[in-house]
Amino acid sequence: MLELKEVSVVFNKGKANETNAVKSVNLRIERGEFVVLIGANGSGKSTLINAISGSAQLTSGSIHLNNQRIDYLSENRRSRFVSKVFQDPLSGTAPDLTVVDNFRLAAIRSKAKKLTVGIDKDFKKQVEDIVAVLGLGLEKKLNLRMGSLSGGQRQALTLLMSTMDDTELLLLDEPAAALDPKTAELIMQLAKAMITKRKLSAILITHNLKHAQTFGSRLIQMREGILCRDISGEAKKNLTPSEMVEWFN
Amino acid sequence: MDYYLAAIIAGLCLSLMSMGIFVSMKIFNIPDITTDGSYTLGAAVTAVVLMYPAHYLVALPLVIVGGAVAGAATGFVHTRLKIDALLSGILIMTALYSVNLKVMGRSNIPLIASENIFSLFGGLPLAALWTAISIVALFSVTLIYLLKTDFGIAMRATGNSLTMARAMGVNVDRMRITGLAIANSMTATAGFLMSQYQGFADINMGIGIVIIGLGSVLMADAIIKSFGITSVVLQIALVIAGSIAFRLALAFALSLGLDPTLLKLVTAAFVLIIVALSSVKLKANA
Repeated sequence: MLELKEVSVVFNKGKANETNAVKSVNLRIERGEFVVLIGANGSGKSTLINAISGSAQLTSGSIHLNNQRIDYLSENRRSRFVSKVFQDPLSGTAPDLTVVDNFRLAAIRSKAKKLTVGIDKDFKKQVEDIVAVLGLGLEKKLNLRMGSLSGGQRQALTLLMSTMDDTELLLLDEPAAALDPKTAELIMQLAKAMITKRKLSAILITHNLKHAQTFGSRLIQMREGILCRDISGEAKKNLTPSEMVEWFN
Repeated sequence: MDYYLAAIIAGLCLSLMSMGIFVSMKIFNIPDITTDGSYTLGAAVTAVVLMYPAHYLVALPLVIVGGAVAGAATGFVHTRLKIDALLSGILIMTALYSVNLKVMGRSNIPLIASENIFSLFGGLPLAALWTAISIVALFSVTLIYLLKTDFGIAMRATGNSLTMARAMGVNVDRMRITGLAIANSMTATAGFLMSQYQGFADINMGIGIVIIGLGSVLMADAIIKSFGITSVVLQIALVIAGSIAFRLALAFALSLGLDPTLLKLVTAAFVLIIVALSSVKLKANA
């Protein structure tokens, strides 16, 4: 269970260009809950996610995961239970490392990086099986440079990598925004399947209102740093994209 | 023949430094300038220990630790004090000049009379070559193993994609400090070998040495990039080959009657050509 208490993030505090990106946000997300976060550009969605993952500093408030405070932990310490998929399909993977190297690093995300060789036959077989699920034939390309694959392929692999190791919270920052519709659909279905199967708590940021309607068990809208709408259950199922468009006016 | 043999042996000795540059390029994306200082540090410590007189096996661990401390200092300045990576290296290199002078006590120490590592294979023909090959083999196998471990993957990812490395729970600051320590201990070991091979340690022997290492790594990199080589073994082999090729090219230039005072100028021009060719080629591909 993730809990945000009075979380505020202020950029350039005390200067002329001071920005209150997130204003005293309170939010509670239960285990297995899939939250979709929508809102206009600059409404604070990404900052909120970055505050949770540790790449943005809190100005005030606290963040708790399973009743333990995590907001004072550095980003790499928090990565033990939080994994994040970025909008840029290239930023979640290391291009000059092989596909299997990337997966190895993902598999030991929460663990110490030891002086032992972790890539053996069993590990390669395990990665092959995981990658084969995509049906893109990438299981035959494990020894290629990650950089030689397309953006969509890399994003699909990033998503698979995010659950290679134990994780409790999956943060998806517009993971499908830079992809063609067919690949975007593949990525979204894959994310949904992984969240359900592993019973993860997840937050998905999207500008695609069709995705916002189809995916997730709860819908939150942000505006100017606050959570202005929070809809779940039947009410969310009955929403239509055109109703949501109205919210942006 | 002896002339080119000497170039090959020198190339092998310096390949340890090139491997160090290879590591620092992997974690920084820029060459580590500390190299100039830590190379001389390795030679200075070796000279002082051999003239004490003590065995070269006493000198080696001291050299490795000395290089590691120098590298860690640069890493510390860069990561903890948030100084630009290039400047951090320059600062530590400058400081090392005084340290090296203090260690040596004078600017040049001849090592002609002492027993050294190149007498390892005694009276065998090509004894010096076999010594160089054995040491380089020992260090390169260790480095290859290191790069293949989980730690090594995390280290390679740090220089390649900082965002990704952080998200994968890698402590990138600690990784940079450790990586620079490893790189500079290899560089110092190159100084250990070179001082014994050429028979002296000199306070100025490290000036511009980083460029020679960089030239070797860039030559290797051009081949690695154009063939999409992912094997760590092949990459390291190419770096060693690059280091030898660089030395041979300089030896060839000298045999054509090049004025030795122009050696650094020619070296710089040679590296410039490699850098320019690879960047032009990259632009053409983009």
